[in-house]
Amino acid sequence: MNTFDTDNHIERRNIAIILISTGVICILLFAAVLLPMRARKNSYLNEIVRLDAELEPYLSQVSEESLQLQLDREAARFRYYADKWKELTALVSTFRGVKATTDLFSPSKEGRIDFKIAFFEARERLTKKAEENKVSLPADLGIGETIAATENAEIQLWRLAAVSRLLDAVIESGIKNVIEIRPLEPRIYPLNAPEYSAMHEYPMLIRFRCRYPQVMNLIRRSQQPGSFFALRHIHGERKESLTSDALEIEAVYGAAIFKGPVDDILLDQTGRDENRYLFEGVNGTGMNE
Amino acid sequence: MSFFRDVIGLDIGSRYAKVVRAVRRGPFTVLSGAEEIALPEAEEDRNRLVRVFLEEKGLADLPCVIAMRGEDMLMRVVNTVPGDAGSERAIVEEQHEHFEDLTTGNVVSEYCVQKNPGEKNQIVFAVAREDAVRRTLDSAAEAGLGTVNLLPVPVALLNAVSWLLPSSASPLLCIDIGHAATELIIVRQRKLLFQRRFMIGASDLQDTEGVFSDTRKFDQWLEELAACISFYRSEFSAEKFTVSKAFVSSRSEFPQECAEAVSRRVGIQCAAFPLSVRAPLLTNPGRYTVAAGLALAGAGQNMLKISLLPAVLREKMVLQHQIRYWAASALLLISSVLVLVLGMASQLDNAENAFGRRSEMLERFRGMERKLEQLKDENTVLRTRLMPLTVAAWNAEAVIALLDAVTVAKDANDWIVLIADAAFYDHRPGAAQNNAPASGDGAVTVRDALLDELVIEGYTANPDLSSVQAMIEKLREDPYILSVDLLADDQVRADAGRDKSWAFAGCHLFAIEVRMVAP
Repeated sequence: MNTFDTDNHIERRNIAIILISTGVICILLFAAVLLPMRARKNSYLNEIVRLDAELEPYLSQVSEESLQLQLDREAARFRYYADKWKELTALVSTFRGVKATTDLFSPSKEGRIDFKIAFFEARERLTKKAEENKVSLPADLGIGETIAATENAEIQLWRLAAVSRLLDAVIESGIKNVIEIRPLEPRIYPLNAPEYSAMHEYPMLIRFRCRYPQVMNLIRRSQQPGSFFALRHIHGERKESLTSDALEIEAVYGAAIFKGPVDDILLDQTGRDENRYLFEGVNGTGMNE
Repeated sequence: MSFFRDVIGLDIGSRYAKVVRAVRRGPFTVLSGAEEIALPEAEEDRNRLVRVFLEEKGLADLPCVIAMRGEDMLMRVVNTVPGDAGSERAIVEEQHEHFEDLTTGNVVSEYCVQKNPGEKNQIVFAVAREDAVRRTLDSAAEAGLGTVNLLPVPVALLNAVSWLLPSSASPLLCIDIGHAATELIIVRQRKLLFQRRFMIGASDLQDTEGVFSDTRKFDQWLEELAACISFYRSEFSAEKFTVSKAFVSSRSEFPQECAEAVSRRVGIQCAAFPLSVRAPLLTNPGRYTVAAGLALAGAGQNMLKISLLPAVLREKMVLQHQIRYWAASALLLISSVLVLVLGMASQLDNAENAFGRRSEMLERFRGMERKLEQLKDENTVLRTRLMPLTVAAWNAEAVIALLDAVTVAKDANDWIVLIADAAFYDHRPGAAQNNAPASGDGAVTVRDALLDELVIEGYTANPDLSSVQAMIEKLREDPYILSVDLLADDQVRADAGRDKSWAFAGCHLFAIEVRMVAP
């Protein structure tokens, strides 16, 4: 027979369990989850404030777009320099494309015989050409065939090559009277790169008489690829009278070669042979392509 | 006492068990589901039958309010002196002692004060023997009832009268004819004024078919009723306590002639318990008056807060009922905290993303700045590297540009006799030209190789050099020319041969220094 249970301890206990469990769960959620998350959130917010301060100069003055524009501009400038480099190295290198022999340029004494041979061949050729064009040239091409012990055969060969090329240009410009031609001390133009990358120039002083159109021919011809010479000095004077158009020109022209690989403006410096030049060599008659 | 939204009132009488369901929705209470079942003699069978009956009706799981019959209980209404709390306490103590003297064994008692502003208050007492209460509760437990309250029958009648009948300024008499006894209460303004019970019931007044037929017993019943009314009138003689109407509730229909007889005998208009507009689903309110009153008490429409359920039991029932709400509240609280956690997680995620975006943005800006600096540095190197080549190509172009400009700018009557760069201006043809660079290693600066300063010599027929001035003005307009002016006189080269050659013309020598725009 069921009797009515008048004891309410079980109900009170159950409710107490519910209350205590709820309290414990809520406290755990607060202490172990909510508060740490809040702390992390506040930490992020502080970092955001710091980042906003660091970003403020960029956002107020410099936008990503303007930075990108600047980058594009600098990149375009770089490309311009690279293109200009290609163009100018092709132009300025007096002997570009000329086939020569790298073995020629050894520091040993055997280079002198090559100079002698080259000088003889050059003199023969230019003398013949001058006669054909009725041009008066100085004797010994301004260089002379002698080479002293203290003189570097390589340099002498380059000088010979430069003089030979310049005289070719002078003759082809219609100039008839070359009074003087004389090599000057070589010059080095550093290319803001390690030592073996530089532009070496072999300047020559040349004095001639001609008319205005011929000197303009020469100046323009010297700006062409394959026959480029850098004009370093000029002194052109009308010598005779008002009615005469004879000019006496004295100019310094430089024939340039590049040492070191210069195909790329960045001048890749890794594993380069110090003695390797832009072209492969030079000989008396082989200065032209 | 808390109320239940869905509760039944179960009136277990001698012969029948009647049930009414009360559903509370906000301020509205709906009475419905009025059913009855005949009960067998045996106690076990009665309990089992009640359980089955309620299960069939789908009411077994609802909280239940049951009645304490008059044979096991006493009720008394005592007037007090208004405003005298001391007299109320004294009356309570006196009545409690009186009840203890009347009974043997422990009692369960409860009282309630009915306050009447400006009038006497009433203290309503209800007392029952504890074993009677336990017996009632045990029976209810056997029947599987979820008992939440145990009310005296007069309290149930008071609830029914107050709720079902239209309100009345004058007191109402309710006569409930049970199987073995008749309960009567007088109610004024929803307060119990008077209560009596006498041992003549339906079993005495009705035949086996429930028809009021025994006139002799009816007359006895009538006299008992009249005696009760007379006693009431002696206690409550004021006009305002005059009973205006009497309603009779019984299982069987109360005949009209009986109602008229009551009216004649006690001088109160009598009728069967009427239908109520507030309980349209209660089609026979007279039969289910007590059950309705019990259900109303369970739904919180209790006019008199008297309960014979022990306080511990009341609390037990409340807690049992409340536990689901405690659990729901706990779940709601935990859910709320979880929502907070989720919200915080979302905020944390947003903060992390915002931090990540800003870090990324800052790194991007800095990366672009670094790249820009690197590019600028490289371009500076490249510009420097390019300069010797640029100058080498530029010199001749500068000379050509100057010659072209002079050709256009000079006066037709002026002659140009010399053009030279500044370093070669005073050069004597044939003089030794070392051209050696200043540094011993052969390296030259670009500046040394630049032909941007040129000198032009010429002769003009104009002594005022006006044509020369015109030429200078024109040359200044040339985009390749940076500046033009006459060369200082002390810098004009001395050349006797030149002067001699041009003396015949009678012209004036001029020398112009030109600075070209550098590359």
